[in-house]
Amino acid sequence: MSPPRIPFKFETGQQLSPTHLIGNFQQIANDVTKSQNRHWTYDSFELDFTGLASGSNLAERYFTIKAPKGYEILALELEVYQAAGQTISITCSATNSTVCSVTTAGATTKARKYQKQNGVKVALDTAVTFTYSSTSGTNTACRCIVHFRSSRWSNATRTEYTDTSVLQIASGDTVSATQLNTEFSSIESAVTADSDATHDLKIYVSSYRNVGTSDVSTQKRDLPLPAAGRTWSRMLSYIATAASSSDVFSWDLLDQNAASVATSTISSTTGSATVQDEASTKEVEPITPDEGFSGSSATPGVIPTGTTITQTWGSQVWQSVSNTGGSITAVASSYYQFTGGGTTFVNQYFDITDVFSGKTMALRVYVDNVRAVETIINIPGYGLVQFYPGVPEVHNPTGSHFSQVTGAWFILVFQFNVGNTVSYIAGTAYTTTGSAMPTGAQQVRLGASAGNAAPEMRVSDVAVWDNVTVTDEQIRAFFSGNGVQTTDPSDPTDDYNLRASARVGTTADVKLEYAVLYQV
Amino acid sequence: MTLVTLSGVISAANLNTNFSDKTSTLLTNMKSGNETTQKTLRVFDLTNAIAASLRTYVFTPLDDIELQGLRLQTYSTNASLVITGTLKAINPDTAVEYTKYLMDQTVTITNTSVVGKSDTHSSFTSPFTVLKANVSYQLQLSSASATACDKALLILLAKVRRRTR
Repeated sequence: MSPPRIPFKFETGQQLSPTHLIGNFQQIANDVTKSQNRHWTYDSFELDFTGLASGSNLAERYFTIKAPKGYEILALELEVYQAAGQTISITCSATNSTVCSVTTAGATTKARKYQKQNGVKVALDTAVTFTYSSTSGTNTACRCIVHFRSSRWSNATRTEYTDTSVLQIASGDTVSATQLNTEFSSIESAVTADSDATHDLKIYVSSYRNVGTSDVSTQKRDLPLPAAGRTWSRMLSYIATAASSSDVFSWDLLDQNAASVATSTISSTTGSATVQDEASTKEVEPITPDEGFSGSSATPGVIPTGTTITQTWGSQVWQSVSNTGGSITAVASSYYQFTGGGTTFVNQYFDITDVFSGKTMALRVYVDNVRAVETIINIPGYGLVQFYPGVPEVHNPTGSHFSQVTGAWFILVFQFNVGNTVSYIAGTAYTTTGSAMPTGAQQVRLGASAGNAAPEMRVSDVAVWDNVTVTDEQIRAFFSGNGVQTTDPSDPTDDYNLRASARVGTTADVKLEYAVLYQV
Repeated sequence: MTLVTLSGVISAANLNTNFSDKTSTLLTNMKSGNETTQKTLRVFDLTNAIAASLRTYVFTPLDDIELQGLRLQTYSTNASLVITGTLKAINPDTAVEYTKYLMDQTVTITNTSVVGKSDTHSSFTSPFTVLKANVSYQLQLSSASATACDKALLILLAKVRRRTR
């Protein structure tokens, strides 16, 4: 698509031309219409039915897809290798779908069917199953690719198409400022509607059959997802077991620091051989904080670039202070950088004055060349003065306290109870009893490090939630959408990994486990 | 940027500001439509004796996609295993392979395993190779060794553009 045309530039002192004015309105109206109309994306996902027999348990033979956005199934592409003469079919449960069947041609000879689908539209949150069946025998290999298209308009914050009116002005007319403002507002609404609809549905399915626990490394269980900068909206996991199983199985979505940003855990039901789905639903929608800023996102705040390092958001002012010869700078609108004066950055700190009672605060920090951070957060007189692994969401590669760290990102989460205690956020066995919370505004400080030469700490994101229940995953989702991810989709060093995780109980009878990951 | 509310004598600068702001926003919207997708071929215990059917993935995109990169990842308890990944256009219904739609060549990527995880990555830059709609493409992994590579992954990264229909 050609880019929007450059509008005519008006010059001071020249007579306003109605033609140019109308022309500018018209071309923007046309361009926004063109942009809005390009809302379809085509994609596909793969279902692996390899190794299935005609008599395999039904639970082993189907995948369930329950997408958070609507989509339209366009075709099923089936490829099978099996001894000749058998019929393999994939049946889709969606309304109007057509069964995709093929007659096998040999264990090493490809049999293929490309079955178009007509009018198979799947609404959001509607479970669709794809079921394998065969007349006889066991396939050597069988894969089905489901082709679909989705509209970027069908996201959760759906914004309808907005017609853009064009002001008609004749030469000699008197045009009021109000009319022009109305016209600009109309165009702004259309452009905003276009830019709000940014989500395109992507579906990734990773499956394992009969994967044991002891003989499979974590790396073998990883599915790399190289394109970071994505927002994952949902992960569903499923398990199909024999009747006696009592296995627990889970999938983790790991970020580039091998930190889990989403987990979906499921347990098989003893005496059942059914797929567990609803209980495993895992939404990974972030929750918007009430205060704070994000270093890499314009919403809801951006760290200013340059020497002005006071961040204002709402009624709060976040102020960084340095008084030990080091420096604090705002770097490229993405983070505050604390650089040591010599080997320390003692007394460089980041302030917010707030009443923390009942609030949850999370920070994303990066440290490099740091031997020990003595005080990472301090509410004077009220604990939280030491940085220990008991703090949840601290992804410390050293496995100990904050020592000898070279180049690592951390998410620190603190929850301040209402009333009279200070405690860490739930999700850890660590217990502490704090002192009474102050009633007035209090100050939070970051910093105070004794480190190696040229120690560095960055604070890229701070978020505070007021008196709401915030789960660990919501916090992680918030940061994963606003944090350190790069946006270069071709950079393989910026992995996510979808990892099948350990389970307990018997393993021999576990037939199929799979996760479906959705991106919008 | 927000619209400048016009009043009284309207300046050329304010008109220009309002028009330019919406035009630049439109440009951003259009660029945001380049969504990345990936196709993944995963093979466990890959050796030179594994049948092609078990190490091949055929897909037929319904829309043109731009090839962004190929990635070959191995995880192995044995070093020095030479693993090769290929991408080429094929006729899916016969054994005939052709290269009409794919730069007249097979795209190949090779990885020599180490103990643990090893990655190889090929990037493609503008002008991107386009995998054409309704043409079948094949991802295939192969090994030169009889010693098994615990896991091999061939990942195709591509961009999908938004369309009007």
